[in-house]
Amino acid sequence: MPRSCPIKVMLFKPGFSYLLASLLLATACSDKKGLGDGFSLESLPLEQLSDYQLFDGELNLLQPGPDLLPYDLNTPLFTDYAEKLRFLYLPEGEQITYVDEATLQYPIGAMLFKNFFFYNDTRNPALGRRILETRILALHEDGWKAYSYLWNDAQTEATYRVTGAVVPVNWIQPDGSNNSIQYVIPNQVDCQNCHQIGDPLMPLGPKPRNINRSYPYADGTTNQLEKWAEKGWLTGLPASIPVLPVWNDPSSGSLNDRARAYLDVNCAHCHRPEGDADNSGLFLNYENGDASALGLCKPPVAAGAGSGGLAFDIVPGQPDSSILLFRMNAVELNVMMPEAGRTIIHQEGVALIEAWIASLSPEGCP
Amino acid sequence: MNAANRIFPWMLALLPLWLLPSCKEDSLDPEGIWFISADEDYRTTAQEALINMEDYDTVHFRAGVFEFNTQLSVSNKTGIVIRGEGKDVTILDFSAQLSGAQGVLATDMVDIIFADLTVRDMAGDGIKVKDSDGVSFFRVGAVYTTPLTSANGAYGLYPVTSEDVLIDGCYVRGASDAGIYVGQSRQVHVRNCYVEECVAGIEVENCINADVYGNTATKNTGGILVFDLPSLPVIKNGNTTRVFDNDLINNTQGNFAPPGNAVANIPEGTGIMILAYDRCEVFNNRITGCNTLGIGVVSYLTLEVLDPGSSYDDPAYDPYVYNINIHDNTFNRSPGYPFAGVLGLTLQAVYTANSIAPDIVLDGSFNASLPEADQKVCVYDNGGAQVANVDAVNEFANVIPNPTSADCTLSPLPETAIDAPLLPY
Repeated sequence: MPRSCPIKVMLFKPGFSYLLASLLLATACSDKKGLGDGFSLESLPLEQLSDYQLFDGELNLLQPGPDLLPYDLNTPLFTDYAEKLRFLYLPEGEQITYVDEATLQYPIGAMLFKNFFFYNDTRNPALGRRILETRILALHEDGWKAYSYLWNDAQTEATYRVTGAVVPVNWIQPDGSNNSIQYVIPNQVDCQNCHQIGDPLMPLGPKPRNINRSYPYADGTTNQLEKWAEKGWLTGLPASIPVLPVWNDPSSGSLNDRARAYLDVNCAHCHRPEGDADNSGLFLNYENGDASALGLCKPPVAAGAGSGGLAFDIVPGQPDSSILLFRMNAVELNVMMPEAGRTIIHQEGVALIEAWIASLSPEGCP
Repeated sequence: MNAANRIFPWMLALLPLWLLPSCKEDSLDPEGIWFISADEDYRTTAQEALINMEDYDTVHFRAGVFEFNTQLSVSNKTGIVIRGEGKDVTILDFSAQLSGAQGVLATDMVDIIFADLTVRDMAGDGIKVKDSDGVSFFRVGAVYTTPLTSANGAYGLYPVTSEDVLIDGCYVRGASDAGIYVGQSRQVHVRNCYVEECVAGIEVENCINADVYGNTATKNTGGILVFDLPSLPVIKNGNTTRVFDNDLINNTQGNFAPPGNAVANIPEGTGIMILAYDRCEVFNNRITGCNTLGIGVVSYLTLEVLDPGSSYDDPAYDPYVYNINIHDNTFNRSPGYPFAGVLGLTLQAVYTANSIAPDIVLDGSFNASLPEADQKVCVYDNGGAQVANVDAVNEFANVIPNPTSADCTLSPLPETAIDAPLLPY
């Protein structure tokens, strides 16, 4: 597909990195797949989020331009009650290929944008919001790379930052009470540690079964995967694929399935055979069918204070005796799980897993 | 682009000065060393250096106290050095930590060296290195200055699922599990370290080929542990470990490990404990005042008897000990120590208050499905040390002093070969 060589970026951002970027672009644009009119894959990460020129209007509206599609997940990762807006970008003419219910094969140049924000008052979004960070996963020839952008206080721009940050955040919760936290933006290595499944980095949320839901697009509500296929962005979509339950919607699945969905999304990036917590032997991925590896009557490994004085990860029928629940329900750094991504307790998630463990039988461990 | 934060002299000649990132000159020197000083915005520059450094670069912390509020992390690098100017003068302090379960986390490294610095008061573990090949610690400290409670971090120095690991001349204090813990790794040396006031001083867990020598473990609950635990996925059955020339002195600290962890079962007053291992040679150690258990050799079955929480479901795990060779150790123990913990109290019941358990205690478990010749526990030339088979799995029903089964010899294990990175100075 023919495309124009990038010149736009150089015109209004004369800086070292842009000159370097333009040198790379000049050699790269003839034979590399394009990302659009403004930049090439080799120039990533761009210094500012606005440099991507993928949003319409004021940047903080996060209004997707024509090259972005918003998407949502059935069951998302909990990150201190932050709200999220997610977008998919594909290079023009490129397609994602459906592989299986947990896997999409993205084309080189694909990017996923995930914006984290808090409403000032969750009871009334019209009272404004504070965007904290935008995370980008971009698929290069040699694999996915993670870039994190920190939003400024004026909410006019987000700037590439490898080191992460600690940002104080206040907001009004659904019950009208105030909450105040030190929100932790991960550094680039932290990003890798979660997204590294085996050797390469991988997107975590957008698995087909987790995207398999409807979305209220500007031109009408429709299933996300069908929308992608209809737009020519997705090929090989079977007539019917599994749906990951919505963790907090009982109509979407059984208690067991919703709990497993929650554990898969919130724990299994590390707690899977190829994950960072493989040494623990605790595997919480959706596919795991081994009761012991799932934690049932399994003694902890290298848990330290995380054991809470308890003997097993999960004691069927006894949530209060289960290390897994104890660690979800903690904020001490050497106790809490997951280790990264939250500083406060996800009360509703804890309630779900508590109910699930209570429902498991036969009760107790030998 | 965020390239070019690291600059070589020849590059300077090619670039007009205004193109240089202005904030970085003082962090760099011509040899790829990223200097970090306590008087700069080190929380940012240190993590930035760890991310942007290239293979074979060094991050050099100047003398001083660096107070970090997040975990420092590094991954996927080759040949890097993270060093200070001495473990008593370069202190990375994590007492204000807001995120991360370690002080420093390094993953997927090839040849990483930590040297001449101390990490202090982490919320969790000190320095964890995972999935790496070639890991060296030289003169590194990991210290919890807090009172000895279960709230302390579990492990001070914590290489896991790695290969070619060398821990040399390090110091750890206050860990609520093991001060130095090497887990599920191959080709390991732990030497010349000093570990005090931890639950376990040094623990080798589910490793293959490890040498632990020349260390001093004092005032811990247990001095040196060689443990093989079930339900670990990477190395199912640890084997081939030598423990020699170590000083185990007055490891009488009350056990402050959080219950539920294997080390919570270690009785205070333990010198060396071998659990469920295959091929272990324990020799030339000096064991002083570890009055509950000088050297213990136990199967996992004993742990299950003593602690119902130890049950497991792991068909690939072998809970027995095989080929344990204990010789030429010296003991200086005395009766009267207040026994504690399930194992300690059980021993006390067998060896009454004014007596003392033998220097070397074997639990007497035996895998009936394998030949006797493969599961020798040989004890000899230990200077008149007392030995007993305490029949632990039968709840100490049939204690055998000086068991003839231990009157045997085994060939010495070979030195463990390692290929860990060394400092060029």
